[in-house]
Amino acid sequence: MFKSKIKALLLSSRHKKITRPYPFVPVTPPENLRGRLEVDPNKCIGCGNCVKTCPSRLITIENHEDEKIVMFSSGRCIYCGRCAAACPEKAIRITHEYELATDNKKDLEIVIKIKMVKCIICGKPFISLNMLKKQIERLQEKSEEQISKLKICPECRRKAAS
Amino acid sequence: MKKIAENIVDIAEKIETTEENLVIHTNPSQIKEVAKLLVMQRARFVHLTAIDFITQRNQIELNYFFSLIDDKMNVILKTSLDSSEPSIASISEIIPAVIWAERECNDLFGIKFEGHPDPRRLVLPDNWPQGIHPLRKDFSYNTKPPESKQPQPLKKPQEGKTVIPIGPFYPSLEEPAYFRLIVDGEEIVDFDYRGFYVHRGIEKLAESALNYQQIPFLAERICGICGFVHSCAYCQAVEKAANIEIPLRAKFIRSMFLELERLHSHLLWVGLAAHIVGFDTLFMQSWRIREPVMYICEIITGNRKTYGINIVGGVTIDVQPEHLKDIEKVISDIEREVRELREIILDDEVIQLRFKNVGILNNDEAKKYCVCGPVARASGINIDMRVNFPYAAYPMLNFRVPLNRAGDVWARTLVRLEEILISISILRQIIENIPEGQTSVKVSKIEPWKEAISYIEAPRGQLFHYVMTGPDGRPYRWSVRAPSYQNYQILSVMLKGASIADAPLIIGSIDPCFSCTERYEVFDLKKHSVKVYTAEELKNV
Repeated sequence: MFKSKIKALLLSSRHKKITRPYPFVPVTPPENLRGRLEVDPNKCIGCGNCVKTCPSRLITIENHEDEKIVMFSSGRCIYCGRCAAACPEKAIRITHEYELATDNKKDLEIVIKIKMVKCIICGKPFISLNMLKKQIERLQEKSEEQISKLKICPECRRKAAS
Repeated sequence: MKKIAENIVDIAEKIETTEENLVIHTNPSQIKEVAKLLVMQRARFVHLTAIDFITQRNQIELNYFFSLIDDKMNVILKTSLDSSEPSIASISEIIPAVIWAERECNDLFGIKFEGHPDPRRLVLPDNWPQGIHPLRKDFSYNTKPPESKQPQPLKKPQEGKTVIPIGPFYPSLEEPAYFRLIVDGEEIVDFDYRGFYVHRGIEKLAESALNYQQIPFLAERICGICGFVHSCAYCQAVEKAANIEIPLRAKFIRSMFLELERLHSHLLWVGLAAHIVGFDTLFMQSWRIREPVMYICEIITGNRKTYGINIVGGVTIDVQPEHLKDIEKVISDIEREVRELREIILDDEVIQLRFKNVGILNNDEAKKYCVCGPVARASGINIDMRVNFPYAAYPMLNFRVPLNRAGDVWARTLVRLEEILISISILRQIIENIPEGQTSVKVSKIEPWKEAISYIEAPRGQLFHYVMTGPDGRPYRWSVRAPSYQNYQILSVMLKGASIADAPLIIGSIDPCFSCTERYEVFDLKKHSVKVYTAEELKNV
C-alpha cells in the first residue's frame, strides 16, 4: 500500500512543471501545421478545383457580368489543406498562422475578384484574365494572330469553323 | 463455411460466395430460422442496416452482418421488405445484441419489428414527428420537419423502487447521455438509457451531399478521441469495393497512426478511471504521459488529434526518417513510464478494492451481446480484428492479444495496460520495417453498386463500416457501427446488482464514447446562414 503511494509520489515529483506558458511565450508551430488559408488573387484562375475538393464546402464561385467572385468563408474551415493540394496554380497556401480568434466573422472571409475577359466577337465574358495570360504564356510562337484567337469564346470559334 | 452453406441451402433463396463474403438472400418470413442456424454455426452478429431501394424496386433491403471468426469470413444476410408497410419478425430473442440496431432501423427507415422487447425510439429526438424517416432517400438532407412534442416513454420503476438519474450531462465524461438507474435501496435493479443527444446526421450528409474524397474528413469527426480509425475504416471499405490496392508504405503509415491513437486513448482511459475513483495524482500523471504522443502526431501531421491525412487511395503525408527517430524516442520514454504507472496501479490496494469484482461480465453474457474490444477480451473472448480480419500492415506484424477471464473492471484495466505495451512493440516493428515508396495512388472512377465491409480494431473495440457505392460519385449507403454502440447494450447486465457508488466506474469501464455511438440523425442542417439568437429569443424557445 505505502509502496505504491511512494512510487506515485516519486513519479509525480520527478516532473515539476510541464505546462507551457503559452500566451506569454509564443509557441513555434510544427512544420506541417495547417493554419489559416492565404489566397493569391493574382494567381487564381477561377477553375473551381478547390470548390470540388473542399470537404466542408466553404468555397463558392459566383459568376458575375465581368468578374468571378471566389469566396472562402473560412469560419467553417477544417484545415485539411485539400484545396491547396488541388489548386493547379498554387494560388492557395496554408500558412502557419493559428491564432484566429475573432469576434467578427467577416475577418475570416476571403473574397477574391477575378477579372473576366470579353470575347472580341460577341462581347460575352468567357475566360478569366489570369487564365488567358497563362494560355498566352504557353503559346510556342507568340504571333498576334494566335493571341487574338485565344480571345474568341468557344461558341464563336465553333461558328467560325462551321 | 461450407457447412453453413450446406445447412442453409434449404431455406435460403440464393447463396453467393465471394472471396471473403458469403451473401445469403432469404425470405423475410424465414429470417428467424436462418438467424438460428447462423448462431448455431457460431456466427457472431455485427450489425443490422437497411438500404432504401424504394425508387428502384419499391423495396427496403435489410442487411444483417455476421462474421465467422474462425473462417475469417463475413456473412451478409439479405432480405427485402415491401416498402409500403415494412415489417419483419424481430430476431432479438435469438440474438439479444440486435436490439439497438432494430430500434434504429425502426426510427430511420420505419421498419416495424414484430415481437421486439423494447420498441421505443432510439435515435430520433422527442420533437421529431411520427412517420418521417430521415434515412429514406425521399427525405432531403436539409429539410427540417415540423416540431411535434412526443415525450419519450421512460421505463417505469416497480412499486417501491426509486429512480436515480445520471445525466443528461454525464458528470465525468463531459458528454450528454441520460442514464436512469432504478434502485432498491443501494442496489441497482434495472437500467434505462436515453442518449443520442448529439446526433449530427453524418451518414445522411455523406450519402446526399459529399463525394468519396470528402467523406474521410467527415468520418474523422465522428469521434473526438479515435477519429483516425473511422476515416481509415471508411477508406478501406471504399478501396475494397473499388478494388484499389494502396501502396505498402501507406498501409504502414495507417497502422502507425492507429497504434499511436490506441496509445493515447488507453492512457486517457486509465486517467479517467483513476479520476472516477478519486485518485487524481494518477489521472494527472497518465495524462502527462499521454501528451508526448499528441506532440509527435502534431510534428508529423500538423494536428494533435484530427490528423486529416486519410484519403481513398492512401495517405496525404509522408513520414520522414527523423520523424521515425522521434517516435522511437517518445515510445521508449512512454514504455518506461507506463511500466511505472502499471506498478503503481497493481500495488494500490484502494484501486484494487474499488475495481475488483465490480461490474462483472461473464463469458456467456459477453458472447450473447457480442461485445467487443477490451471489454470482450477481459471476459475471456479472444477477438481482435487485427488478428481475425487483418488489415493495413497488420498481416506483416507480430504481436499477441492480451486476455483475461475475470470480466470485472480490474480485468479491463489490466487488459488495457497490457495493450499499451503491445502497441509500443508494434510501433517498434513498424519503424523497423516501414518500406520506401509512394504514399498514395490516384483513384479514377468508382463503379456503382459494389459493396464492402471493413473492420478496424479501434481502441474501444471492433469498428464496422459498410459502404455500398452509388452512381453519382458518393456512397449509396454508408453505415457505421462504433464499438461503443455494442458495448453500451451490455451495461444493463453489468449494472444489475451493483451498488450506486460503482455505477460511474462501471459505465466508465466500457470506455463509452458518446459521439461514436451517436453518429447519424438529421438534426439541424438547415443553417446555411447562421442566425445569432438574442437573449430574448432564447428565453422564448
